[in-house]
Amino acid sequence: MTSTPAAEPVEAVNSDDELLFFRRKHKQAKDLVAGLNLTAMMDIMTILLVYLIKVYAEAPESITLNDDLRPPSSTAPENLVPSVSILISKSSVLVDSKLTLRLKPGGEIDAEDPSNAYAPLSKALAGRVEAIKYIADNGGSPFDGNLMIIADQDTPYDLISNVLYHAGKAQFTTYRLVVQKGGGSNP
Amino acid sequence: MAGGGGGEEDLNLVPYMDIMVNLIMFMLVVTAYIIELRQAPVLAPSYSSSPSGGASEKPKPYLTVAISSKSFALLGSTAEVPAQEIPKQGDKYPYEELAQTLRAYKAQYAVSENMVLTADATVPYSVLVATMDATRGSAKEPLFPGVTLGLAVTK
Repeated sequence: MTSTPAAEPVEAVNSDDELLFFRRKHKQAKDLVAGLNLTAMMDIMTILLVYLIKVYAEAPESITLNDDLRPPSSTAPENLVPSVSILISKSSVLVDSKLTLRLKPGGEIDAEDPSNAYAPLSKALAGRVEAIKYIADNGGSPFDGNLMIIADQDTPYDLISNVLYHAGKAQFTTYRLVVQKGGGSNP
Repeated sequence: MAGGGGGEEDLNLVPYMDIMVNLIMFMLVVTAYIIELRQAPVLAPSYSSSPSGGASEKPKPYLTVAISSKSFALLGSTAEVPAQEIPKQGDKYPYEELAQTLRAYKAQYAVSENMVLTADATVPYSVLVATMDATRGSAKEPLFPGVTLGLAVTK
């Protein structure tokens, strides 16, 4: 009497194992059909991410567009060549991202001595030329005299002309006006 | 790698996918704000009699386009090249008319391909760039690709 109940559970465990194995096998087969294959999707995602990172890295100059700085649109075909830059916004003039001049509304220079208003710009440009020449003397690329002008579309010509004049005095010989690619504005 | 028990289990890619999707969304938003930039070269002013800077040959006459708040003015460097004024049409500068006039000048007079561009002190930069677009012409039919900027005209 005691041996029969003991023999029955052993047989039951064996059959449960078989059942579990059978269920697992069927579940796996079912999952193969019903589950989403994420590997292919991962490939697409990785390629997209690499492409986007590459596009972001290749942007030569990062300019934040705002009301203070919006370069005009132009049909100029040449791609941007990075060089020393003068950025003229509505409120300031920067030489290679360093604040050089402050501007009043309308493009007038905010300086204590108006007769010497462009002196900080001349000094900053001369300093950049000196630094580039020092680097060139120590094995760097030579000074090519290129200058990028990134200016807001409402900048008065007087300011542009004076900035170019002082750049010329600092030995810059080739000026490149940076514009937004477009069909050209018609102001 | 959940589990660690006996059976082989797939790598749980869902958290990784979440990171990737977030990264891609971020990159898409950032790249949408990257503006495509171009450059318009400008010649530095030279101290020769002509912006083309011809050496021994007799230099060609050259044109100067002056932008005022009311019109474009075309001026020749010699008496052979007549001056002309193209007034604004309402509030708009007549860029197309300027391009046509320059085309006619180039065909009629043997002028240099380099020109001088100058403007009133108050003329906005956008007008200067649009005028340069008009004077440059197209890739098929270039007009005056070399532009030297002159000093601003102050009253």
